[in-house]
Amino acid sequence: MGLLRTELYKITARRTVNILLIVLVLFFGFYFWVGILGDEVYTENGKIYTRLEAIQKEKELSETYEGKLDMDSAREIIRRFGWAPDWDAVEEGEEGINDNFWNRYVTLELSTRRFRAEGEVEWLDEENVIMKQFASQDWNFGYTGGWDNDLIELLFMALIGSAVLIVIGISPVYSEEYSMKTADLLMSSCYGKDRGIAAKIIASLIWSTAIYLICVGGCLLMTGAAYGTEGLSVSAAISFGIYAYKGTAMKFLMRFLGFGLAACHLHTIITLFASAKCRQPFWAVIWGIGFYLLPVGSAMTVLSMLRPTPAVQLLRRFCRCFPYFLPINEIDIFIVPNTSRFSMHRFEGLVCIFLFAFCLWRGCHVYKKGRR
Amino acid sequence: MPQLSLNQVSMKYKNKTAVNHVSYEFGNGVYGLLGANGAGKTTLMRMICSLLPPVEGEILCDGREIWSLGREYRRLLGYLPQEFGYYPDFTGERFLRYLGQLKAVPKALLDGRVHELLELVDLEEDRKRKIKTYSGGMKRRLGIAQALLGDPQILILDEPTAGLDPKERIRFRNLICSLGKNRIVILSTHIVSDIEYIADEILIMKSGSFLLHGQPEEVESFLEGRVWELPADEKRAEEYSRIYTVSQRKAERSTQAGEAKTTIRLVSDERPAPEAVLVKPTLEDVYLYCFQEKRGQRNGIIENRAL
Repeated sequence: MGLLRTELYKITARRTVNILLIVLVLFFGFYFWVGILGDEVYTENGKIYTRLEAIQKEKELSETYEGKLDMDSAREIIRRFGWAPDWDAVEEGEEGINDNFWNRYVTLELSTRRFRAEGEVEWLDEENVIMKQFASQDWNFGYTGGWDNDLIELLFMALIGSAVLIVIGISPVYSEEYSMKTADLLMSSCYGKDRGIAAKIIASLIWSTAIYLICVGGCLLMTGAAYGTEGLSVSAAISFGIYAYKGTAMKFLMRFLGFGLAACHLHTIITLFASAKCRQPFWAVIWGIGFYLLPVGSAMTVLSMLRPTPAVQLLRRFCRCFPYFLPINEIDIFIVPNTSRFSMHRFEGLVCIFLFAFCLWRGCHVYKKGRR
Repeated sequence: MPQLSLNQVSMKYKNKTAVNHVSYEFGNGVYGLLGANGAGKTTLMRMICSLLPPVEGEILCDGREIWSLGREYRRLLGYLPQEFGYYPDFTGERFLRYLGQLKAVPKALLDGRVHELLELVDLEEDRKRKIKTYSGGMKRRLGIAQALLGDPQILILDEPTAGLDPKERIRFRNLICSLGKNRIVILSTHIVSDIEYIADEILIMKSGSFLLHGQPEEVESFLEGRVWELPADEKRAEEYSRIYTVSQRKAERSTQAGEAKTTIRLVSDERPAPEAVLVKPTLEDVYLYCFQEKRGQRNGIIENRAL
């Protein structure tokens, strides 16, 4: 325990990382306040409410409309509030405008506004595949609050932010022992080549998990504090637009964040590998960020331009097993039709386990080999 | 007590042989490894500390290869590297405690051992200060303390007195003397006075090999009958410096105005001048003789000599 505590201390005592963490959390708070809460608008008979007031008004309507959404309740919403306005077309002084979550959802999902059709807004034809899908689903409708794609966007920022912080914090774990010339002391000690290394790895994983939880947890706390938790029981299909997923927003978020945590751990081990290979923390940071971004760059540029031969498709799938993509894949597999989730997860799992094991083993081996 | 054996141990880098087929047996006592920069001392010590595997030969501890012993061997070691690394934001106490855990010092004994060593190296009052605030000498003393943490049976000290003032160096010498009684202490330096009085055995290393090894008197006796002192003026002193290994040039105050006299001490197989007087060789004479570049009439290369 003493070794583990000291290794944790070595990582957490770096002032730069702690300052960056605070800056990151403050940035998320700022973005949440300005970008997410700032977009909350509720209009009742032309009177506009914003931010927390708007949220309160939306919640008041929840009692009436939450539950199973069918065509009757959809029509009732439109009868009461009218179609959600196109603010670009609204004239100054126009009266009787109502704009809230409920009529907005119905307007954007079940009317011609979905396809940006010009002219008067009308219901989609009942034979339309979307209407049929809507009618056949057993979704739990409700005010999604902040538990929607805005949150996914914020969480994604948190994932990237924590990934960068992890690179900066973990890169010195091995490399600094060489730059500070302490490696010889450690390697010549009784436990330096086994328990010492194990303590470093476990401390790195604990610390990166904590960073992940702080970043992601901070976003979830802010959302819960502003919007409440009622939105978590709404169907994920309504919250996030992932119609193939049957569960609630909460279940989906847990899945998304679970894969995010797995990505965080894989990213930590890959960064440790970079740290072992580089004898200077600066280069370890460069390589750590490189290992994080290279699959992204490859998948989004070179590989996306090539003909989808089996080899290219395999490479694309391989790139999508790296930490950046792991949580995103969980959205894609419920959006892209006919995706075999089982085979996707099996392939992903094998590649991730291989990457994890290889980087862990190789990183230890290179670090133990020492300075020549 | 462990026995350490080197059997034809070699280390080669790309174009250079750092250690060249070295063989030696270490038992209890203090071994002074003397050599200039680049002689191979640090490389040899790192191999003994199982930081570098030899490319040829083997290092045995009680007849068993040290790399196969692994943790069992490292438990016996205490090592102070030439470039002593530390964590600047650690306090002295935290640093020793951390290394104590790595060196398998039992938890119940660790606190006591840390305080005992801090007292020994006179850092008890500074134990709560961050190492980055320590002076060079204090850092070195901390390095010595960490080397002693696990009560090692094999103590490897690479240039341990670098950065220490004369008082600290004398204190260090006394400490090593007391430690060398029942363990192997291998101490490398290029400062002769560090080991002159404390080493039980001297090993002079050059270009990766042992040139000479033996007890100090034996090593000194290598130059018996070949060390001379003679007076000379400045011009002649310069000339002798070009031809012979000169270990000392001592200027004397002139009794008459305009005359400056120098007494020089040099190594030569034959009497260099009629007024030259034979003197007892010292370790420094031997060291300088071994590491001086070729002079005009100097004798040739010394083979590895066991005395």
